[in-house]
Parts: sequence; structure tokens; C-alpha cells
Amino acid sequence: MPRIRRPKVEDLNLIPLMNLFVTMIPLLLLTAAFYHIGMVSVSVPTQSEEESDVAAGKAAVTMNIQMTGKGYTLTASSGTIGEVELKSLDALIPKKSGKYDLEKLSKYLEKIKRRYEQSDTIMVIPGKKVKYQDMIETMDAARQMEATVGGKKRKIPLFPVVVVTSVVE
Amino acid sequence: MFDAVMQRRSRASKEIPSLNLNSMMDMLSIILVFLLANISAEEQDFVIAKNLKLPNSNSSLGFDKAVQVKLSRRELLIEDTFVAKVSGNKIVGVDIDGGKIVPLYNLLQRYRSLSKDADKTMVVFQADKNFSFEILNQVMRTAAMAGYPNFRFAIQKK
Repeated sequence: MPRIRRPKVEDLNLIPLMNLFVTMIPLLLLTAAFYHIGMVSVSVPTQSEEESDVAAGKAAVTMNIQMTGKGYTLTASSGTIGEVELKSLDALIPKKSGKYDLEKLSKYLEKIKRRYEQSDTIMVIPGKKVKYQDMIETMDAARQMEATVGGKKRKIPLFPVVVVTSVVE
Repeated sequence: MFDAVMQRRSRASKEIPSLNLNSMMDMLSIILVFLLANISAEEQDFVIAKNLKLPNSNSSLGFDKAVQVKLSRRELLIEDTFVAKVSGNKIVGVDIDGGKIVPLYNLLQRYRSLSKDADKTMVVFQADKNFSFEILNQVMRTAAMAGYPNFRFAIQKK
């Protein structure tokens, strides 16, 4: 009976591929960004002939968040809602252990958003001494909030249009 | 006996052992995939000024191209052009007229007239996260007066 010769298994030559990888990795390491830059969209109030930013037409409000050394002072403005109703939306959110209470702010704004669904604008009015990081965190808390819906974490939009202005002295 | 051992040794030394590159290839493939997934062409164009720590934010808004105003702990720049010195929380050594930083205003107006950007009303603003609103407001007000009322605050994603 003839002896069956098994074909010899040759190793794949991986050296050219290795060379390619070894060149590509330093190149990518040089150009890779290990921190990611993003943007926060903000505008400042300007005089224009266009329609006012204050919500008009459907029931909607523009929330004004004044940032002071003590915390947040919230007021509302609108072109359609009466003064008495607007006054009822005013609130004070004091600082919690020396820091702005972002959670409470988000929850309060969510309540307003549920009531006036067409609302999308907030006016942030920081005091002179307010830190830039605190301003950004306030805008984050007002723009959207994280909530667990059906066991999954989701971002719920609140007031995505942010206007920054200063206190008129 | 001795000869037999020597013969076996010399035969063994002639065979060149092949290097097993499989595990090395696995490792390099993983690194390559990781780096390719993290690379972003947009962020290559974005240069953060020296002496500046951007604030952290959870914003998911991407990078926009526009004229860049950079407010670091030491200087105020437009793109890479020096505008004014910064000391503490104040802009020093330049004319300030009614809250308007005059050299910043003039340079921004020049940029606006030369700009080919689609949106000529937007500024990308880089500022240190520890600055107070007082100094930021001065720069923002000047930019708005020069015809740039819309801002993209540069942030570091959380």
C-alpha cells in the first residue's frame, strides 16, 4: 500500500504586514487626539429688526437664569402668558455645599418644559465673579437632562438655545 | 559517546528557529484598530492655545470652522495674532473704550471683511475654565460689537 504523504503546511510570511503595521502605528500615534474637543453654541443679545427671542404665539416661555454668589434666581418671560402666571414660575435654587445645584435646576426646568413644550430658549445671566466652568455646567444642565427610561439612560432635550448676557448696571 | 552528542548539537544549531509572530500581529492589529477609531480629521485643525485649560462639558456639538478667539492666562489672541496681555482676571496694556477692547474690535472687523466663511457672525471662543465672567464678557461684548454675536465655546468633552 502506497504511503500517503501529507502536504507540508507552510507558515504565512507575516513580515511585510508587520512592516506596514510598525510604520502605521507611530504615524497614527502622532496624529491621534486623546482628548475630544466639542463646542457649546451660545449667542449674545443684539439689536435687530427680526422677531423677538421672547417666545410668542404658542404657549412658550423663555427662562432667565441669574447666577449669583448664593445660587440661581429663575424668572420667566413670554409674549403670550400673563404676568401672574409668569410670576408663579419664579424660583430660587440656593447653592448646595458651596456648589450650584445642577440637579435641582435640571428638574425644575424639566417641569417647565413639560408645561410649555414649545419653549427652547434660556437666558443665562452670570454675575461678574462666576467662573466659566460653572457657566458651562449650568448651560449643560439647562440644555438637556439625563433620565432613565425603560432601564436605559437617555438624554432629554430641555432648552437647547442658550443666550448669555450680563446684568445691566 | 562524546562524538554522538557533538554531532546532534551541531545539527541542531544549523536549524534556524522561526519566530512566532502571531501574538505580535494580534497586538498590533488591536492597537491599529484603536488608533483608527480614535482619529478625527476635524480635531487635527484645532489648536488649543498655551496656558489654557478648556472647561469640561457633556455637549455633543461637533467642531465648527470660524475665526478663533483665544483667551489664555497670559494673552488674548485672534488665531495666532497677539492682541493683548492678560494679567489675573484682566486684560491689560490696551485701549478699552466703553467696555470695548479696541485692538480686538479692529482686528475682528478686518477678519470679517476678509473672511470667506459661510457664517460671518460666528466666533470659536477658547477660554480658560478658571476665568470669571467679567473678563469673558468683555471679550464677548467686543466680538458682538464687531459683528460676531454667535459663539461656539470650545470645550473638552467629558
